[in-house]
Amino acid sequence: MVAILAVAVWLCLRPITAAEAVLWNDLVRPPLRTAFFAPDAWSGWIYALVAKRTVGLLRLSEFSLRLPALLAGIAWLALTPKRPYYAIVPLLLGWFTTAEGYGLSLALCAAAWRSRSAAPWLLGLAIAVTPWFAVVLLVVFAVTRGISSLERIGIPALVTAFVLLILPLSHAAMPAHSKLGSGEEFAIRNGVQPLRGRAVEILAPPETVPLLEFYKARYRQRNWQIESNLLDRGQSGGFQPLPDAETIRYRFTK
Amino acid sequence: MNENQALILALRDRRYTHSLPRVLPILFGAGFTVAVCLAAGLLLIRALRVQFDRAEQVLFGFVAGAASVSTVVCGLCAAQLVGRGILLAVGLALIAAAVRWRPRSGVIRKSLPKSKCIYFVVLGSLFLLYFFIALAPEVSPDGSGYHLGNVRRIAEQGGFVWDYHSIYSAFPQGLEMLFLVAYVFGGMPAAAMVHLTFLCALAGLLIAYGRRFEWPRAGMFAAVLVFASPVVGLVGSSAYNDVALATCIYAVFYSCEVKSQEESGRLLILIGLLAGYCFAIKYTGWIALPFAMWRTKRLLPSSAAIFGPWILRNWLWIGNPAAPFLNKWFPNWLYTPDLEASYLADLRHIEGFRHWWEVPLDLTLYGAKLPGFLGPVFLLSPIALLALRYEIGRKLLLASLIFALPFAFNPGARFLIPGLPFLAFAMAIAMQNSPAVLPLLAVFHGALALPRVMPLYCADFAWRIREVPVRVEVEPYIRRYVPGYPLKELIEGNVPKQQKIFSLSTRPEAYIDHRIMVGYESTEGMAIQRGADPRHYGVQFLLLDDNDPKDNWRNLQLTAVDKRNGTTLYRID
Repeated sequence: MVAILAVAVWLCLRPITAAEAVLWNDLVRPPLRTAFFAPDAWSGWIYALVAKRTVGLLRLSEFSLRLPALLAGIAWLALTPKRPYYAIVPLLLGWFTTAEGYGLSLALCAAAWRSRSAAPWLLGLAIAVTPWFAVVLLVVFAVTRGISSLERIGIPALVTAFVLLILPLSHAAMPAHSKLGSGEEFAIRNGVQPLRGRAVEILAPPETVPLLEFYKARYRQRNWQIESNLLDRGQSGGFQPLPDAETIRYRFTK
Repeated sequence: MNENQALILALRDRRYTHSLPRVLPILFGAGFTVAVCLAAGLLLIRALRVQFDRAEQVLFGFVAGAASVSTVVCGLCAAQLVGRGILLAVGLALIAAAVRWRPRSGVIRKSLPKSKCIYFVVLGSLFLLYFFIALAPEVSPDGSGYHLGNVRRIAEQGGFVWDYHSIYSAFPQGLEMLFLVAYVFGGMPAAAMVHLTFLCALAGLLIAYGRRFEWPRAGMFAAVLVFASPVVGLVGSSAYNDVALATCIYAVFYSCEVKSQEESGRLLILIGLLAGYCFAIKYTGWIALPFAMWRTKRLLPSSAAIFGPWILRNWLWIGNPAAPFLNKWFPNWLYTPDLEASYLADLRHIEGFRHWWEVPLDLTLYGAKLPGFLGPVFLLSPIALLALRYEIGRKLLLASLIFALPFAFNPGARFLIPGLPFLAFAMAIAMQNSPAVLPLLAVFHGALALPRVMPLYCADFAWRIREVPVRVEVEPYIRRYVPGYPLKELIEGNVPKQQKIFSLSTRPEAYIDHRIMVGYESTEGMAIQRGADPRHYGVQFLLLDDNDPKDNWRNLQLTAVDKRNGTTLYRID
């Protein structure tokens, strides 16, 4: 168990991913009122709400942003009734060490399993944290438990999730999947670390901008100017990438 | 002058929505109309000896009384006898008779659920909101257009205006007859108040139905779901007729269910009157008549007493009992089959949707492409399918489908209102066994209907309630919401009283003293629109927007008299 925990903490310290940087940039950093109506709020506002607290307590870092997921993993271990389930922990480590809602949803499902009276509301919260769970849970309920269980648990869970999600969903847009891999994410962190304490102007591809903004806030580098390397070509067709748009360029301003 | 003194002055000043000299006549007009309807209905229920509890007596009394009073006023209009004196005399006589011979009831029903307070708080809060909307000047497009435009002309003329030719004056005006009574005493907001009473009656009918048929919680929830729907609230507190139609349709359904419980020939008379009134309120209400005949397996001759006068009026006046429709079968001077086809195609026309699934989202959430929206909670309506397990659920869902059919011909959210109570009830039945869900959703739905909350999810320009006009100045309020209102000064300052004006689009007739002939609303109007000399039809002035085509009148000498908000008044020299 200690080994699992140690691995989990180590995983929580790895460089931030593009999706996590977007979550931080769009949902954790802005005030709640703005974040609640962001286009991608529907898929992460509840996780962001918890992450706001952990980031506020521990300062911004990869670890503090992922701490809700890690805590959810610990809760899941504590709430899971049967030891054999521990065997699948390595498979779930990714969920419990990434700033996403899956781990939180899983922990809420485990809590629902333990507390039958609060089960509908906890399941609803689990669905609201990770809306994709709705489909899985509804199918599981309909198939395994029948109509009466659907009325007692399924509908209240669905309604809870609906109440929590409908306003963010009304502003929803499908999240864009980043093409960045873990290699690029490591490279960006390694690349920006030498720039700490220097005034620089960074021109970067749009999908790397949230990562750079995260490290700017993480290292408290107010004198970094980060700009997307898009150039407005006006009448010739809107925004066009500059030549050699794959690279991040920077120059010292002082 | 301190704030209290300013408020007292404002209360005496008619310029403010909450000033007493303005409010008292409105409340009297609306209250008198409702009281007369209720009195007539209670007398009818006593005569029919139908077994209702107290609440049902009041609710059915109001709706059935509305049908009867509307028909009497229709007769007065035909005889050109409309006036304050006669309306007051007939009304007071009915009220006095009802006080003397009101029906008794010994029927006691199952009590309401313990959570009733939650539902009543939501209903009460929204009622206050709607009350102030109805009390404010009428600013809805159709309300300030043809609904109250017709009422105003009838009130001024003392009866039907036979020489005013528009498709909108050919529609049956069952509800406008009640608006007329209210308007004569309290002006336009009194008419909106009468419509609001129908909305309250609809909520009451849903609650009463739930009590009678042993679904009290579902009834309360369905009442909130319908009452707090944004489009229902807006339409119900304006001088429209869709909510009144929904109320009467639900009353028909309800009484058919009562009929299936108790074999009573007299109940058939009531069902007939109600079904006939659905037709008299709006053509789309005709479905209630075959529905009621199917459910009762009887012909309902009493319905003819209510819708008959309207058919007869149109037959004698226009030569087409179904005017302005079925012109192919009944050729007439008002409208041609071509114009009818083009009008219907315009009603059906919608644009802006790329995928079919955008339609339910727009109808419930955004209200961006179709006028009005039902509220996000109706996105959960597929849950209503679980109600199919019960016989009552199957009946409700079938009725919901049947009465939502007009939506296919005029896709606006308000055309779904007649089917909405049935859907809401079916949803409530499906969720009734789920713990705490009904009160939670009721409160959430109520909160989403507040004017400050709606912009958080709907489109900016969606048709909705935008403010609570408790203490606002009347004139600026109308100007804010009725784009054509500045034309009132333009016309009244430049056009002699008896002169007709031609326009290509509808204007807020209810606020304008003069008669406006609109292009697409009649054959005459269409002739002018296509280039005929307006003077042949007694028109001396044209009212044209900047983007209106003017080529058709190239041969005429037009002098621009004045201009307001992009609309120019031309005199034909």
